[in-house]
Amino acid sequence: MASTAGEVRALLSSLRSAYAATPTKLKIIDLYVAYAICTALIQVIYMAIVGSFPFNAFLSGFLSSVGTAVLAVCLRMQVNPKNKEFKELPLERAFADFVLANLVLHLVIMNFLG
Amino acid sequence: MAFIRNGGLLVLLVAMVFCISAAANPHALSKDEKNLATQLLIKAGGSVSGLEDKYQLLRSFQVLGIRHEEATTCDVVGKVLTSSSSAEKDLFFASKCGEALRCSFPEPDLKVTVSNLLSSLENKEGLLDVHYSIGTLAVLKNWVKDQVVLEDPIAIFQKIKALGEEDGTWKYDANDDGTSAKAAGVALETLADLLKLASSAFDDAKIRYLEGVTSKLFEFLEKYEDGTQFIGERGVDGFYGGGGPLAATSQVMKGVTALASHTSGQIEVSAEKVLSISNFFLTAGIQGSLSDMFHVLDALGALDENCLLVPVVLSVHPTVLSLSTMEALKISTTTVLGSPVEASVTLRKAVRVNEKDPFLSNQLLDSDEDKATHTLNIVHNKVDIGTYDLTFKVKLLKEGKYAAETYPTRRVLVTGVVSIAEVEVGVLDSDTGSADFTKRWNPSTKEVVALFATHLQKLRFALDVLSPSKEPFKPHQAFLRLKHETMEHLFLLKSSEQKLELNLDLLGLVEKLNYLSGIYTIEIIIGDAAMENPVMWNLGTVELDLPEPPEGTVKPSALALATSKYGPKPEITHIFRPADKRAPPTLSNPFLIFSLVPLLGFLVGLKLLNTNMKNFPSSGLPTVAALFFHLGIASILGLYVLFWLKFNLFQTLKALAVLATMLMVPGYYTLSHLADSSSPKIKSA
Repeated sequence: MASTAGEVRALLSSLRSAYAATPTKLKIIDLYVAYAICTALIQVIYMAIVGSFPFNAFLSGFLSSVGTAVLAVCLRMQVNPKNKEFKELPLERAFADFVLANLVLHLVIMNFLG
Repeated sequence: MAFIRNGGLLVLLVAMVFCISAAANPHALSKDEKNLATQLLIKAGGSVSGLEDKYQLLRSFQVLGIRHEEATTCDVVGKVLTSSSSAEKDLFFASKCGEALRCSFPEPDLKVTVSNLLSSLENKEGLLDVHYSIGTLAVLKNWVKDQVVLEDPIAIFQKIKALGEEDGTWKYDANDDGTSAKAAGVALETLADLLKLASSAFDDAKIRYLEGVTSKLFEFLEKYEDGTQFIGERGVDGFYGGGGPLAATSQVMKGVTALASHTSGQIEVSAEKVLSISNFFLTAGIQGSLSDMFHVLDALGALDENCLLVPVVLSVHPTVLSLSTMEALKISTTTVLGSPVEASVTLRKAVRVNEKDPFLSNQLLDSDEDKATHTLNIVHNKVDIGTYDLTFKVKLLKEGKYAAETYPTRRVLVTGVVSIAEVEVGVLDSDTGSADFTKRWNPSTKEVVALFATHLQKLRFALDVLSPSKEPFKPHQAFLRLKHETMEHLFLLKSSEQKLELNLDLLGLVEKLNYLSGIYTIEIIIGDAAMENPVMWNLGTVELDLPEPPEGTVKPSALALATSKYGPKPEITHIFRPADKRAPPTLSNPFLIFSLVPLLGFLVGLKLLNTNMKNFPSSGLPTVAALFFHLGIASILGLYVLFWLKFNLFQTLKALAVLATMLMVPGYYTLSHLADSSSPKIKSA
């Protein structure tokens, strides 16, 4: 048992050391994704306790969080220097896309909110 | 056995009987009809005002043989006739009223009127104008004999003749578009009056002309299906009084008979045509408005007594013969208004409708002393109930201008009491057809049955209906009624050779019976025009055990069934989903705060990561641009909040278009500045 715990501890410490090498910009995005997902989870918990009425309001809130998270993940993929696919894409252009997509998403969300 | 006399059914049957007799049987005007006509005329007389209506009333009463002075009196007529301001039409009808009332006026009083009429004759052009003037003069001649001398009767004759056409019809006016037979009737009546005023002016050629016109006129007869003939109305008649075929035919008969009475037998019309026209008036009967009754009675009056041809009508009384009263048929030969005419009558044949062989033939009927009433006792010949066509042969014994149909046919309905000898009720097995229960009994015992059946069985009903002579009888209407508490179903009993039968396969009926199990009462309903005892009889009850309705079909309640059949459809209301109960604020407010916790975590995480604002431009235009960029984003998000709270989509999109344009410029500038400053272009932190 003790050895297993030690192994887990060793694994986690190696993961942390590997993640420490990640650029700060990506860490900020990761933090943002975690924040959005947590907000979505809280809304799900609330729905489970209280009920889904009004359903469109719940969906708006939930999809707003999840949609933001997905857009942030997209941004992370484009910003990641190790991702060769978007090598030619400037960071600023990716951020502009992120902002534009968020604004359109929330226009729809607000319309659906009722 | 319970013979329930159903009032409604009886009324229907009586109505049917009247329809049959009215449609097929012409008969002389009976006493009952004369009484009815008198009553109707008295009723109509209360509201007559014009002289024409008064004349119609007086003439109708005259034909009926009643002296009636309520409509107008000789004094009133005399005032009109002596007044110099009276119109020709009023003078005409006033003189006719005076004739009908048999008034007498002192000669000097009428002299002025006569001389006025005579002097104005030349100027009259229209047929009706000449008709009124000549007609008035012809009547006035009764009172002032020597004064009425026409200056030039030939000119008047030519004037009337000029309006006639070659085919025998006439124009009312030279400018008229069409001609009509009714106008020809008016012309003939006028010519008859002219003949009365100046008979010496008519030579043989003119009389032959009149003969020709008369015979041509009867070529315009139209025919009904029952063989009666009449003269139809033309469009042009509508402008001169109208009145339909009754008025047109009546006018022609009046003209022709008047003409015949002033010529000595030269005018002739075929007997067949006069008889079919008299049948037309007799079948038209006493009904309708005052003018309709007047036209019928006026024509019948002309037909009853004239020098042309007097039709003799064979009337059968009663046309509905009851076997239970053992009545004999009275056959009378009379004129249309009922004056007896001697004749010998033979029953040529009597045939039951829908059968071929006559059950009676060539039987000379017993006559009364006046030889106008004859007796036929068909009850003694074991006649059964049903409808019969009796064909007679009439031979007139009286001398004179009489004519009768040679072989008149009359329809007689024989009624009687039918009996039901035996009733059979059975419950059969659907598959094998074997009887699980059968009962036969005589209904006079008043027994009732209580049956039980399931949907896998059949119900069988059979009954023998017998006529008074114990022959099988097929009634017009025979129903079986199954009655549940709330609804009833009618089934037709089919007549086979001997019986009335009905087999009900309950399996095929469950849907029609709405899967309603329970006790049903069984009733038998039988009716026929010839039945004196229509039957509505309770056979008993049957308890049906029907299967439950299949899933999905709703068993209708009594109220729902009644409503779905006759009631209004339920009102459609649109209801939005009612708001569910929301969570109490004590729960939702902590959750609002709880949902902000991740944001706090995010900010704390940023702090731990040692993020900074070093990339934010520190001076000059880029700072302003960066500020505007962030302000733009914030303002769009603020606009979204307003959209949620109060704006509609269009207002929002308009504002968004402006804000987005304002955001684009500093955004582009800021991000370009950042991109330039972070050279070399390597994606790194």
